[in-house]
Amino acid sequence: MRLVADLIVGGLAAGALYGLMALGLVLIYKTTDVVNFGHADMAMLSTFIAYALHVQAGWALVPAVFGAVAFAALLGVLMERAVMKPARDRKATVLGLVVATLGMALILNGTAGIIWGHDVKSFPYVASGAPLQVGGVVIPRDQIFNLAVGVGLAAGLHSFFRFSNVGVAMRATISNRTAASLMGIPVSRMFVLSWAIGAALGAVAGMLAAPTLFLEPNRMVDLLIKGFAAAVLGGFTSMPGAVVGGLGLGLLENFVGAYVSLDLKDTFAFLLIVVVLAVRPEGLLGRPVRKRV
Amino acid sequence: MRDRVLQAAVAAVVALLPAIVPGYYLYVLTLGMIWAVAAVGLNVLTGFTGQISIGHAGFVGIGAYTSALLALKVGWPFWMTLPAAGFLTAATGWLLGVPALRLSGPYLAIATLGFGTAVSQVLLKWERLTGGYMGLKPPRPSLGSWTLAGDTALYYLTAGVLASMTLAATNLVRSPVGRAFVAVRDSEAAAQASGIDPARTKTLAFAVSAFYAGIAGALYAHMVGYVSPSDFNLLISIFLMSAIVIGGLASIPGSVAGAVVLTVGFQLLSGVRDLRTVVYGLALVLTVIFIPGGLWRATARWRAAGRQRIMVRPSVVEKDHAAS
Amino acid sequence: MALDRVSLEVEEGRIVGLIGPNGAGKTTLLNAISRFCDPAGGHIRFGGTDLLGCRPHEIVGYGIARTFQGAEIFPSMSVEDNVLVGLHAQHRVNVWSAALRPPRGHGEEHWMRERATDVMEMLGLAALAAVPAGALNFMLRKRVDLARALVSHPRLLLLDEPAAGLTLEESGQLGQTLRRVRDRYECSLLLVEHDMALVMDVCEQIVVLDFGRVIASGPPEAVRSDPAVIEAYLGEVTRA
Repeated sequence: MRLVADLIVGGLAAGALYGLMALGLVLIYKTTDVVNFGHADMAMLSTFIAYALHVQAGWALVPAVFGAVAFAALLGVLMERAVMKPARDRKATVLGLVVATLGMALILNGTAGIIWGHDVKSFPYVASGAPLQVGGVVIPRDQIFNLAVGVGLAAGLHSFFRFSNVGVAMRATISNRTAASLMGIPVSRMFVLSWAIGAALGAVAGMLAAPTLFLEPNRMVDLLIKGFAAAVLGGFTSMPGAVVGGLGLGLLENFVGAYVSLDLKDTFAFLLIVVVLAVRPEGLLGRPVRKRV
Repeated sequence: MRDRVLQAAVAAVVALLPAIVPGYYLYVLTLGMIWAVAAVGLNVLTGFTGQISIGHAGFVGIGAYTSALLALKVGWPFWMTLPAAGFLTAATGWLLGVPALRLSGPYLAIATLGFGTAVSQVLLKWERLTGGYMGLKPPRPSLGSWTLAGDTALYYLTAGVLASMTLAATNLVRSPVGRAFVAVRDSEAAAQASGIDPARTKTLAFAVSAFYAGIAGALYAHMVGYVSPSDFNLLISIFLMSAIVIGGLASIPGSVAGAVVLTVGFQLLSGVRDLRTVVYGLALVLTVIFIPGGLWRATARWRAAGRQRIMVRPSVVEKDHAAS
Repeated sequence: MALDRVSLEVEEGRIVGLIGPNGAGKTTLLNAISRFCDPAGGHIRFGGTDLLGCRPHEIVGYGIARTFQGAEIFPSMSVEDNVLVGLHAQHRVNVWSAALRPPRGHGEEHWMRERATDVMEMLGLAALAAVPAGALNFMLRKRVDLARALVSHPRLLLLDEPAAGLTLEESGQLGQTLRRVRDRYECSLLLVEHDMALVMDVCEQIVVLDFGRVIASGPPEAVRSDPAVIEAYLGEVTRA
């Protein structure tokens, strides 16, 4: 029973991070039609910025984290303005856009390698301290924190879309770009904004995952694939679906690891992607993808 | 005419290179030609049929391990393991093609990415069969008692395989089968109305493409003499994708040129890996933005300089239509 | 599904026009016949077969070809290759033989090229055979679409708004072309069209559809004066 509770809490905590990755991916996809294969490398580089500010420049952890989030947002703006927009303006195909994000992933990955090398670095937990005891179940503080941040950011984003003017303008852009631009919504600024928010969400996930993953340029690829799996599970077009998909993936993966095979735990996300896409491409909460005739 | 001359010149250079180029560079060129086989196959799938694959190294890995295991555990000679690797990988490609049918664009990219990563994970974890991260050491290719061990012999063997695979791909894409590939890519509706079954066509493209990857994998296993799961990871899939994007989508010679140039660059820059990663990323981004047709097409005018060629400008077309 | 109780027959060798106000279900009907969408019930018989069991790519094998409203072409292929795709159902090429022998100039493709040239000449595309179809203007694209459909020598040719996007003069030419097509290839034509001048000029029978129902059917003169038709069209005017 204790084991099951541990698995649930641990699964949800990890799942919250997958959900954050997925949320950023889905937001960017819904607004701009681009699946960002550079998402993990953007998160990785941002985490390195936090590392540089905190460990190398001696800032306190919290300002360093906020600094890294700001950096991530700028990186998102740069991606949209310097890469995606020029590519779109030149009528790049879907393949071209996907390849451009892959290219950016390589550039960021190599840059991090040049600056920080490939020695594995440790990154501190944002929430530390003695684990909490809830009814006989021992819960590490960082797990609670991850879950709270994940759910909190998702809820915050939800109310942003719901209640703020900019959020509503973004939703309009998502549902009908042409109509939105006819109504005077600056669509291209919405593109930039979704890249900035998406990248910031990824950076948060990266920084929360870094203490357990450790910090090294190539270590966050897994997070990308988990993010994809979560997004696909949730339907890739649904933001609540991304969060639910992330939590679901975290749980499933933990139980598969405990009861089926630990080896399968790492492969599970990939299998899930292939199976979900094959059986129910629209995911758990997404709408069916309609084909044009 | 100019094409013939170019082909003859390329053939002569390829044949004479071993006399001039030192052993190590010959080995690098051999590697380049192996990846060229895989790149040609990937271009049939992605360039011609329009199906993205960001997990193609997975197919290459399946081919490499199939050939290595057949040689090591069953004792088959190379001339049997090579086609066996091709066919088994083609079957895998066909199977992956079935779920891929319902997906397009970015979804297919994600699914194939998942597939590629899953293959290298399975190769890593299935230790009893694959030796895990220790990898396998397949023997050099041999024919009867004659073993091809030297760099030169391996170079010629690979060049021969690449030449025949390239020729076959060129024939294929110009045949009605190739027309069906492009038709499905350009307009699925019009293709269907013409009697083309998009599902069958796409799975066929997956199978053909995987066949090429399987052959490349088998060549790789026996040329290098060592395979491990990390030889077929995501980075290699991205590398293959880069080769066809930079060389030229839907261009067979472009795939070969792209793969050879990128492999040589890859080896030359192996001392500065991170810089290499940045350079390759930059090349990809710049290609997508500035020369979306790839280098082969960008240099077409230069190559066709001597050829008489009717340039079709929209104005000519308009005039024609007004006259009719 | 938008359709309801449509009932329609096309006699062999006739040019039939399918008209009706927007939203009447004309294109849906065409899509149902060519199997791009499913009706909720009923039958689509052609000759002796019920087409409802067919998938879209099998239709051309029964002798039904179609064009598309937006001119679906293969932009990267030459005009000639576009037309050759239309012959896909009429020959089987296996992957091995395709890969193992050089493609140009062998006997099997000879008749295909002849047939393609024949169609291109008739539609005035012969001079453009080598031009990439994507470089053509809209009207020529529509002709390429038509040529691709026609090259299979269908018994029934479905045309989805062949005159849409054409100038007055161009649609006048189109009428002649369609008659020539019918005479030359001895096929039936079913066209969905908004251009009344063209429909009245070229069609021998007109079927009027409104809200998924056939409200009139017959020769042009009879349909033109049918009160139900006038009501449907005038109704549309008042609605608008």
